[in-house]
Amino acid sequence: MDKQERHYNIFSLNRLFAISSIFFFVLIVWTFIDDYDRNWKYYQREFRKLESDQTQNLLSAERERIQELEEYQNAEAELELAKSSLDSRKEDLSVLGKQERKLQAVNYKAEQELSFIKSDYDATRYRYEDAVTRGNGKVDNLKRQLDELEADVSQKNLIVQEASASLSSKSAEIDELRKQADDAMDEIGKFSRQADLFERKLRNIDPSAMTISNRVAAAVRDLPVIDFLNPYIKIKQIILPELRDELNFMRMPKVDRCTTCHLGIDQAGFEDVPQPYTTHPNLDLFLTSSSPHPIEEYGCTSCHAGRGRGTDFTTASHSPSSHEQEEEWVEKYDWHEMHHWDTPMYPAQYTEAGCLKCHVDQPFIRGADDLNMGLALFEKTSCNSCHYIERYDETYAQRVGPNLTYISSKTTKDWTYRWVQNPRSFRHNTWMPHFFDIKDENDDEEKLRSSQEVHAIVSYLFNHSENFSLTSLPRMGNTDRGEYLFNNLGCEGCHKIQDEPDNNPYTLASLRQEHGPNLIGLGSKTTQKWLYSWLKNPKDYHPESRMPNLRLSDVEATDLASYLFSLSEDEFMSSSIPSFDEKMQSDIAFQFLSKMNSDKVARSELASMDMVEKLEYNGSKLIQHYGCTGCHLIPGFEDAKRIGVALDGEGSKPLNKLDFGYLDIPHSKINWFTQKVKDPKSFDKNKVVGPYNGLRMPDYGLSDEEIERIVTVILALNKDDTKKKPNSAHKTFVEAGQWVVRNNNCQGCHIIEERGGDILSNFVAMEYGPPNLNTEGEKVQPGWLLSFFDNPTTIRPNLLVRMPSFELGDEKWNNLIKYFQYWDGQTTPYEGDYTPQKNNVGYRAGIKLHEMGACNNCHYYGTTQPLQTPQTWAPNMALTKERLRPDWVMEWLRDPQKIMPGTKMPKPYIPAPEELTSSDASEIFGTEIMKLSGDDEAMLRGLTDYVYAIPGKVDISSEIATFFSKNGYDFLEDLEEIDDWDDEEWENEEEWQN
Amino acid sequence: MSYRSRATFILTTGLIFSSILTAGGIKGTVKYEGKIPRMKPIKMAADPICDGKHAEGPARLEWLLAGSEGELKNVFVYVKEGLGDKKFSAPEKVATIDQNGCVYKPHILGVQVGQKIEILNSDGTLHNVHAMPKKKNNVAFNEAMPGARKKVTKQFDEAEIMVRVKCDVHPWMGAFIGVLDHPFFSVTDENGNFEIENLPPGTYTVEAWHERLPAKTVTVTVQADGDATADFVLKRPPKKK
Repeated sequence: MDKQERHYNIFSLNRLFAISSIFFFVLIVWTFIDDYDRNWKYYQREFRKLESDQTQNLLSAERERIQELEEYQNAEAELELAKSSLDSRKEDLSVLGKQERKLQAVNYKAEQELSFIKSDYDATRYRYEDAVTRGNGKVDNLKRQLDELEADVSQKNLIVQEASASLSSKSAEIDELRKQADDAMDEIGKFSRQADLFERKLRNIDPSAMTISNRVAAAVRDLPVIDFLNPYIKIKQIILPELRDELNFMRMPKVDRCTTCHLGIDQAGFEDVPQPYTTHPNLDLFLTSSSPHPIEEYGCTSCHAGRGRGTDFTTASHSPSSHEQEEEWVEKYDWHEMHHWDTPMYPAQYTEAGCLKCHVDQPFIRGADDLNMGLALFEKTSCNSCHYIERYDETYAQRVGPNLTYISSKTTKDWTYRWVQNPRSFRHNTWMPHFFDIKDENDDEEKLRSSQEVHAIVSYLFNHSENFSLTSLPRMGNTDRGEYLFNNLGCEGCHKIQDEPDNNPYTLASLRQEHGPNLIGLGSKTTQKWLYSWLKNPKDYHPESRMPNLRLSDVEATDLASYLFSLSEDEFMSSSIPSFDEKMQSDIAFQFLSKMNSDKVARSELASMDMVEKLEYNGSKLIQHYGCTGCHLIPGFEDAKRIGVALDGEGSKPLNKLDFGYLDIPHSKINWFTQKVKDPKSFDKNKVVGPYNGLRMPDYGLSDEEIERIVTVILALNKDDTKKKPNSAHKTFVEAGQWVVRNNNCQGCHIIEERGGDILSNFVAMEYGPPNLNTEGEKVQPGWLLSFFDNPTTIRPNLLVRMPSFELGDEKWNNLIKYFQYWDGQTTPYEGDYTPQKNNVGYRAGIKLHEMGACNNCHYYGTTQPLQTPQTWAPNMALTKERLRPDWVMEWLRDPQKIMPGTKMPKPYIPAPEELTSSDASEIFGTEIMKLSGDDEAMLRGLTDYVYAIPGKVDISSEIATFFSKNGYDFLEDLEEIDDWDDEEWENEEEWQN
Repeated sequence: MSYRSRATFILTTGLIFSSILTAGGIKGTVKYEGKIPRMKPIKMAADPICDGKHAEGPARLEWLLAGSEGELKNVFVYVKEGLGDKKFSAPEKVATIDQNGCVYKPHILGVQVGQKIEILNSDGTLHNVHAMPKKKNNVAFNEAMPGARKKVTKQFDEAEIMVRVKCDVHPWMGAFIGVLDHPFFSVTDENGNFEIENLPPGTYTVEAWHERLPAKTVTVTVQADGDATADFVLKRPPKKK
């Protein structure tokens, strides 16, 4: 064989080509399969089975249900009957059918002919009109033609009418025959609507319920390659063009593909099915179109964060909620963290971090319990004092601690030293953090430094303290009486007196009861004189104080002061105080001096200072360093700024901006925030930093769970694009009012929006505590409410608990009033006085109803006392016309329990029509009620009108005060007996029979 | 009568008879051990109608009524456990509680779930009847009953031990209604005796509830052929610190 003129052997080359083409072919097939084979497809197939099973179950349950309905059975029987009667008349029906079809043909033909002639007629008419206009000779001829055609048209018209009449009568005959069966079908359809829907759904998803051709089509549409058309198995995505994801300087529309796998998320019925098919736990609030957060509008990642475009477990950026879960996920899904995705999904326990971005202006977010707890703790620890947060700008006070301007009038240096050194040793649950938390008891240098720092701070505070002139006590108070007042006046709405920690986790309610400090140990802290002055008017001493004025009489204030003073903390006061150490003071001063000066200058400055000057200098520097001014008003630092970083956007900080130092913990944002709140200075571990260059955030002594709640808030303070809807007037007013409620702790005493009233459990019965403010906006006249806020008068005569004077000013009061009104949908700001018509039957019936109801048993009428004992007393009815809105009074009289559950006000007796038919009815009810013949609207209106006409003094506060100062509130103690064992009664020998 | 319905008839009557024949009961006495407090007289002067009804001497509080041997009145004794899943429909018989002489009569009442309760006003003065149930399905009510309104009819839909009833006009007035989903309860008379009838044989936990004294329970086995006995001794609770 000729040697080919090639450098290679064609045969081996062919072989090579053959092998490599097979190899590449396999590779292509493999690539294709690998690309085609996605986890989510398995999920969709699985869910399809689940869904069709569920639908099947629902369908059979529904069928069973309707089968049992009597109406349905009747309709079925009716249908059977109709069908058999139709069968018997089959012949007739087919004859009729034939006739109908014939008539249809006749009718069609006639209509056809008519329309032809009509067009001829129209054409001729045009020619005739044209001829008339032009005046040519064809006019007469055309006129004749037109007349003939017109006659034709009317004749054909007649034929058509006749034909269609006989057709409809034939159709009616047939309908008549079928009517029974059709009606029965309609009736059945009414019941089976739901079942039909299930059936239709099943035909779409369950191959066994499909017709054969559909089944084939369904299989084909999911075949590889052609599945781009309209497959069943496909990626499901929600595109949200208005919401954007921040992707390195680019803002891309949000695309959420979560529902590709989470297929049952927005449908009820999959609650007990395992993930990823489980139904969302709160469909009333999320996902459904009737909820406030429909899935089409908000998607998933706008709340949960994570990577919406991801279609497998890892790339969706799921986050485990515990280490155990992480291990489980690694095992099951080969999960790893998406390192370069800045917004990983919130782990389950932090989910509510997603709420705040839109609800940031609200003091309380309904349904977000964890976040609300976090916000409450955030506010109690007052993060806002050192860290600027937009949410709290102008809504929440920055300086939440006491005013230190007059500290020397309030307490001693010794007490202050011990307090600053270790606040929790005086008050176990104080919110003042620990700045001098010594980790290592053997670190003498550290101990010495902190003691000297405290000395410097205390001497600064006392050296700069201004004098506050305290009023001298008008009398010595009675401690027991003071305790009684403390327990009954309402102090416990904001304050506790709790010696030992109860170790219960905080709740929103318990935090409300810590709105003010736990009042233990005041005898060791301050003087009776100071307590008296403070109680008489807190704002004199501290204009920014949240403590309202209880309008205490001199006697009450001295009694309370005496009680509070009796609570002392001797152990705390017995701890020793180290003496000044000049060397350490010099060292501290030098550290601060050398921050701004060269060492040489610093040294010479230091040399020129004596001990007093050093203390003064160090005190002022340390106060700034630790940011005491964030919470306290301190002379010389009135305009001090916050010392911490602003926290808005903190949740979006990239991980690489968070300094973990040498701390060996897994690097994640949540870990960093948690560690920061738990042990704020720990990131300085092993670092070489001077004493005043490192971290300085103090320690709040929070539990792990509380830290978790606070971290939720930090995560929530992020830069995620929000879709906050512009506030409606309604929302603006409501929020402004809610902040007033929040800041003044109204819910410590009152139930508002069905929350709060925490103090109520201290009372024998709800009715002796502060009133439930349900429907307040509909209830009271706004003008009256404003005057009440400015000058609270006595409404409920037998309440010992007292509405304090908050002195909030018109703006805040208006916010509150508008909130109450808008909350109740009562948006008319100004209303005229209501003058009842007296000259009518209704009014006169009202008089009779009122007599029968004997309202004067319990209610005051001006200064006229109620008939029954003080325990039963109720508001002055002469005040109604100035205080209440007539529409509300009517609703109140209709059913008081509905507005104030548990109220002692009974539902007035409004006789029912049948009660007016008895023989002695007119004798019992009188002619006026009889005339209204059971019209309860008219009777209620009449009763309301009567109440508005009751004359008398409106403000009877002083009369009531006089009565009770003479007679006391003994009935409250009598009441206790009913619910409680009263030892005194059991012990009282005179009361025993044997 | 078809064969089938006749058979059913025989079967049901048979069952009824046999259940009556085989039902037993629980009888017993409740005593109070300890010093018996004297009930304070009630001051009713604020309402002349109330006062007028007690011309022979003032009414007294009723929170602990014991005889010389400690026989305790007004103890609500009821089967607390042991009936299993048996269902009992509400009786047709209406229970009544009267406001007479400005006290509730009876002071302790037992009813079944769904049973009608007629609250009467024999006083002819204004009362208000304020029931304060705590269970979710029981509706709280507070109805004014002027002299002219002789009757209010109510019912409770969930078992509850006990529903407190009071009058806010006359603060001394109080009563307790025990609501049960079965008919096996009784209230002790002035001799401290109670009797629970027609109990099917079985072992039951029976509780004696008193408005001030801590409740006690005993376990009782009821045989088919007679009454079982359960006696209780109630004592005051330990003193508060």
